[in-house]
Amino acid sequence: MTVQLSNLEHLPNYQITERLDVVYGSTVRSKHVGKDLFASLKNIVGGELTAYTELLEESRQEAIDRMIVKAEALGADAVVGLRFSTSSIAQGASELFVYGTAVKAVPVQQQPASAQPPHSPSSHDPSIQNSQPPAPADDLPRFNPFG
Amino acid sequence: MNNSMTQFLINYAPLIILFVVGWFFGSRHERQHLAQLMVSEQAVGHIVVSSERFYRPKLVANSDSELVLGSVVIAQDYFKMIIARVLSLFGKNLTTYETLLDRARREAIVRMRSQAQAKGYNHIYGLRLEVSNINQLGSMVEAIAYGTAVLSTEIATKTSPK
Repeated sequence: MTVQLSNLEHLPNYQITERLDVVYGSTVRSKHVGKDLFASLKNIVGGELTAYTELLEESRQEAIDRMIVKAEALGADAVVGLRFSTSSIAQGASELFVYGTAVKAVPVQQQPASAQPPHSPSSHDPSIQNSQPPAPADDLPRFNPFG
Repeated sequence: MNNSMTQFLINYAPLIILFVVGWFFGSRHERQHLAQLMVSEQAVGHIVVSSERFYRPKLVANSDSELVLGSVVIAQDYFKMIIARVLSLFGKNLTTYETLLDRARREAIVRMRSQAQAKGYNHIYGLRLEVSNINQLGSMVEAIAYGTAVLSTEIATKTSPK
């Protein structure tokens, strides 16, 4: 199973069961001289530097891949709380860093709207069922940060 | 008098040429980019983007979520760099940088949205934006936008403005 990624504290439609560890990945890359020269020429007229965009996209993907390898080694299902950070360390070279928390997660069982809530008593008397106020508050999508 | 004038021109010709070339192409690029941004923002406008972390939209049952990311590197033209340097002497708003950063962020968000659209999601939340320098001068900036794309039922019925 592939590791799912989320930059939130939770994973939509999944329940986090166990937090494993912080995982991270990083790359330091620079383009070769020819493209660097071209980029500095492009710098005069402005506009998008496609060479750099591609470079950073590639190396960011590599950083994510390295992080995923670590997460898989821990046996994680997903990485949540993902953050990216970029820092330039030298002229034309930059470090791309990505980190997150590796977690184990299980899919939330989605119930159809007509289904009984699991804590309700067995329906031996339908009048009791009907007298209950419909849609209690715990049906609302409320986020529990510690759940 | 005439001689010193030509001397001046010879000395500063490269700078002046760069200034004029940067001005011409830079403003043309910017106009084109802004026009293109308007069009592409219209095209992906039906994807709802929010930056909240603790908001949970109603999701389609058993649908997955995915991280979407858009990034762009945009360079400042030579003309605007000089203007910015002059403005920074007086400590004014560096309006030339403001437009650059604005364009970079908008482009990053548009790319993130079109990535979500290509994967069939209609809602992005937990959006984070980040901008970083590529070179020391600050004339090249990279903007990235990332968020979690989900398939939400709340807006599935809404017709997409095409």
